[in-house]
Amino acid sequence: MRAVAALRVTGLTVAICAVTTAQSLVEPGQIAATEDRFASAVRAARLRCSFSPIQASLGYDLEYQTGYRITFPLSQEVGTGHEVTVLLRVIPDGRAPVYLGKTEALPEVPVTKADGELTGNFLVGEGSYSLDALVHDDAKRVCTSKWRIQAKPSGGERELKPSAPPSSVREISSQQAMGAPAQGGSRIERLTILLHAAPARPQAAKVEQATATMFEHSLASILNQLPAWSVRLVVFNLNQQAVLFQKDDFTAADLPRVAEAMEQMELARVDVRTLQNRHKVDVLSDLIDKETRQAKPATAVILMAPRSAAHLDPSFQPDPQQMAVSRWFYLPYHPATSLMPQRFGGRGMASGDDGTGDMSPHGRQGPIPMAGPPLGAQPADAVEQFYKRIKGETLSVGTPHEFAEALRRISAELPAVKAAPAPVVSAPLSAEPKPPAVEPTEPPAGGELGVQENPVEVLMRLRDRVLEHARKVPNHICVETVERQRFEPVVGRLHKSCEALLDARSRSAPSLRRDSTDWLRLDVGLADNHEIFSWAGAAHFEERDLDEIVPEGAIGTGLFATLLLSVFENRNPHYQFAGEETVDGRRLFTYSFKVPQAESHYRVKTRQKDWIVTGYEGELLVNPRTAELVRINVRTDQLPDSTSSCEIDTVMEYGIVPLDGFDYLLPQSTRQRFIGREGDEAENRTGFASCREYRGESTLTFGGSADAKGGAARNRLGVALPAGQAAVIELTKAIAFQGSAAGDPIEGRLAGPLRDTQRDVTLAPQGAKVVGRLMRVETRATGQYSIALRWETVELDGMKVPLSLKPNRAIPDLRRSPQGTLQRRGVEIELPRAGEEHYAVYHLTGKDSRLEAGLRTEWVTIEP
Amino acid sequence: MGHHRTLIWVPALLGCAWAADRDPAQILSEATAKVAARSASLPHYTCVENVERNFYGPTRATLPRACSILMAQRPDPTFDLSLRLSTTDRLRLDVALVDNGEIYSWAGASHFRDNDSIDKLVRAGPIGTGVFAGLLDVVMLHDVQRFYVRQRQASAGGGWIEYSFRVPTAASHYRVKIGDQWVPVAYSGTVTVDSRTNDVVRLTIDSGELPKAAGLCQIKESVEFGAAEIAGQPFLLPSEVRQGFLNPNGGAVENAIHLTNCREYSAESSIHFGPEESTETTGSAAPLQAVLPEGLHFTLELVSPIDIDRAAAGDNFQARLVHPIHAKKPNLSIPAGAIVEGRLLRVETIHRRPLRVQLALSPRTVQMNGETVLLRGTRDWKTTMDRARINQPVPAILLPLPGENPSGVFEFVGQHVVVPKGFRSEWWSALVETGK
Repeated sequence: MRAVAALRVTGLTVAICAVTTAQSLVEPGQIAATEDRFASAVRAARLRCSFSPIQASLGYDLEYQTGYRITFPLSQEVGTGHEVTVLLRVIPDGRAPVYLGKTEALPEVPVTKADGELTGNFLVGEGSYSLDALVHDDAKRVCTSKWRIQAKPSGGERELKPSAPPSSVREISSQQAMGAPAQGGSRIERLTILLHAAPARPQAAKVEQATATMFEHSLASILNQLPAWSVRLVVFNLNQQAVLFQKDDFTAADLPRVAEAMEQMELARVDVRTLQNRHKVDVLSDLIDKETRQAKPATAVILMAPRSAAHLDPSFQPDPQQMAVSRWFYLPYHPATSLMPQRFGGRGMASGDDGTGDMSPHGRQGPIPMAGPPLGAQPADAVEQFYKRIKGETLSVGTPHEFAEALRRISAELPAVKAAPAPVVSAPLSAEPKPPAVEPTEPPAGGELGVQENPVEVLMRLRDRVLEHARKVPNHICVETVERQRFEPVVGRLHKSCEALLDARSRSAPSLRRDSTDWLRLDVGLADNHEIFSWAGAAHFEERDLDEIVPEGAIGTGLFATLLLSVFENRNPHYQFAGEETVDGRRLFTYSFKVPQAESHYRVKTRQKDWIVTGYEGELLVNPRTAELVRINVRTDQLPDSTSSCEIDTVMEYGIVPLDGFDYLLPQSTRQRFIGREGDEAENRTGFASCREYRGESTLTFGGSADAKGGAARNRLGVALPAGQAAVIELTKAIAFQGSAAGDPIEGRLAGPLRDTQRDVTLAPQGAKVVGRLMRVETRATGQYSIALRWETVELDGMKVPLSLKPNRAIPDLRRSPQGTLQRRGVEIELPRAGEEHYAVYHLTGKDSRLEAGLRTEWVTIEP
Repeated sequence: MGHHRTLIWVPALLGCAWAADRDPAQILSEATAKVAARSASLPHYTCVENVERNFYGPTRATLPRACSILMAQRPDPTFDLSLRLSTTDRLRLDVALVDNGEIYSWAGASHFRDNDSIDKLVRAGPIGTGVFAGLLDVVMLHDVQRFYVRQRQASAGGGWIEYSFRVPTAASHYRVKIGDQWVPVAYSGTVTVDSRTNDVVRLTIDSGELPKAAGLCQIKESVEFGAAEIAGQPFLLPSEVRQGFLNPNGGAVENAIHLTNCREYSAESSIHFGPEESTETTGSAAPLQAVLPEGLHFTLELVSPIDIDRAAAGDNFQARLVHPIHAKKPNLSIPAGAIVEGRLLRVETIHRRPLRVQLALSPRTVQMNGETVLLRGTRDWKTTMDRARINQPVPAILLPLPGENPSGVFEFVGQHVVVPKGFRSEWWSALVETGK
């Protein structure tokens, strides 16, 4: 949250860019000079301007915000180098004045009839205030105004604890003190807040800034108004089916991390596992279920969500007895016209004007349109119906006032206790709940010890578990889905050494813009201590390296198993215990490790397609109670010039994934960052799903990509597709961009017979089933959404015959002129990317677009 | 046994010193008969098997290569595949022959354990069995259908004949462990027989390229036999054994094995089978009475030095308790100074700078008022690290290798290290698992 005073241009002329300013308290040393400004204003030349006071209104932080809007003809400030200063004298009734001010340099102003506009906001406590405002420019011209405001609680607000002292004036700052509960006293024993961080507008790709601020302020108010001995916060998103942030012992100090999590969430970027499980909205039911099974259930669970975005699996049936242990509150947010409808909305009126300024009592803030009808007309959503079933309480929040009322009601219903509850080691979200455990204390020599938390024992148990898993995993394969993002430096490619790049990066995050995102789906298995790949669902694993299957872009192997195994299979590994840390409420042991190049099996491919081996180091984060691996970080040594990267960093969050009767130790989320040699970076996020053991009927084979039966069929039928024959293929199943990945199979049919025109025979009849694969699913920063596909087999008599096709790229109606030159000009030509000569590439209008069933495309047969 | 064998004589392969004074088939037949007789008497004998294993890595970093390439390059490797010694370790085991093959125990343990194969004792690194007797028996008495005369040398004192052979997988009892399974593999080799005594003097084995799943490219073995005297009787025993294992990463392991202290079972020393707990009376006739519970802290002080140049995994060590141990369940009070006996589970030299050695120590028993109390221990790293946090750099954690737990691993910088008498170490008692 930041105090803002914004200059913008109104009217038709928009040549001047808007400028953001900040309003702040006048330094004590400047107060005398400021007083002189006000005193001498009556003698100064007049600046034409118009004041619009913004009346004090309650926000979701339960503080009163007020301010002003000033418009002035820009014709007074034509040219460059001008500046405008706004000074405010705010006098609480019966108190000394407080001064606020800010000087703003104007951008170059052309000759114009447009007006400039300045706005400014600040906070006040409950009370009545007189305001004197003064604007002066660099020509010493002055414009002044006066008005009164009143900040007065109403209804249930009066029963809440004031967020600011009465008759106080404060600037809005990012370091604003959020309500920390008072020490001691009675508090709620345990409070859980579940926050669905979703945009107010369902079609928005990000949580709007105003919505994020609303949630951030709401959380601060809950901490302040519902003091609890223990607060657990889980921020999640239903569209992504992901937990964005969770923290036991949540405090106001953690609010910036919540804001950061919401800021970083992009709804267009969905976790890879979600892509494979698009239609199951089960995160919320999962969270509620886990909440009921906490070792020590919360006194109250508060669910906050934009009403338009809340969903719940209708089949979700939690144990009523467990649900009854906690009080359940649902706060659906549904501001009718604006996320801050009362903030600038005139709950008081300007009460004075000295005649030198043009007063207008309106306040204006661009409304954020909300989905759905206004409150009262909406039917109960699935979550609300669920809360009715469990006898929870739904407290609709359309305004800060309603939010305040909701907090008052919750506060009234919850018991408070004077003593802090016994500590509980909470279960991670991914794990089954565990009974409470009290931290063991170290016994004296000769005493008895619970050795399970000996750091060496823990590491050894983990090592044995990993090696045991390695023994089993070669019999299994998984589907690996990769989301790849490529970033470019905002300032363009850099020409620095890797030392300089990495050093600068270690001091501050580089400024990057996302250039492209694409998705891949592969099958992965383990054979002979290395990972093997094929496109998802292919009949055979490839003998080629992964970078030959996926030639474009950065991609790494080893995430399935070998990277972790290499850390433990070293004969003389050196680990160091780096102590304990708490991550997401879990106490973890941290171990560092380093594998020198001479003992490493970590391979990186060079630009010349050779392999080099690099040393690496990293950390293991392990749950000391269960010896389960929670996270592994791996950083390569600085890579040699022959590679395109300076360093590769990998973070893998691990968990046991029970699938098909087998507990897989798999990364639940993996982030692999390639730090390019020119400041460019790429980040791959990888997930694993559909893990399965080889069955009797499924064998691990290597070889060509075509169905072996197809070759036999071709021989039997004598079908050898000659090159140069036209084929029209019609999609039989639509391809949605959203949720697709390179590697996904596609289906079509021949729209007409495939004929050998030279021999005048039909090779494949109209309607024959054609199967292919997506080869690229990519979005670029330019707003381009692209799908590349190829066709692989045609079905003849129930058998798949390999099909080699390329798109027909002939430009229609390209007749030659009488002079022999081509007649048509201005035809846009898109060359296929290298390696994509045999793929058809489609550009879509957005991520929600699709290639519809029935789409026909022209192809030409080629030599296999 | 219905075993038919053919001798193929290939004159083109014979050495120039060929003298047809004796029939190679006859020599082979008599050598085979001697092997059979020796095999019949071997169950009455046991030996100590001393193994030194040298682990080599390729000079440059490891990139997987096709085994066929590695095997072809092995005699004349390119620079990146030339080998660099990385680690050496030593093992000392007792070996004996029973009906279904060789069995092993740590040296000095009075009992062999039921159904133990060597890989249950030696969990890390490759090791081959059959050195004592099995390999020669398998080649001479079971697997080989056809021998070929490959070389022959005659001299005034006698001479020798080298026979070659090749065994297909279907006829092979030469097995490699792949995962949990012992899988027979094809192999070839040579047998050299003294043409005067009809004794086998040398046996070589080459597995050829192994299946990928074996995790090894190739195994080569050579066994030199010599006459030994046990209990006044001459006896043919391996005098020098070398085993070579080629890894798919270009690395290799070379094992050198010597048999010592071969002895005949006497009335008071016979082979027993059973759980190891009953073997923990090394050096003591006291009966077992109690088990020290886990979770008790104790400090050990070596009562005799450990010379790394001589020590081997399997050796016993002795230490004394620095402080008394008091346990409630069972109620035990072990005084300071009580003697603790244990076993070295690993003695390893790491040939990287700084040169250093690692020892894995496993306490096994402690004497309490004339009674033997079973004891297991893991090194107390917590105390070590807590101390380090205050005034030392954080020490690297040395994990026991798989199969070594419970034990404590210690590292000493230097090559010819002698861990001195009086060396103290901190421990926590660990669970004593019955039958382990």
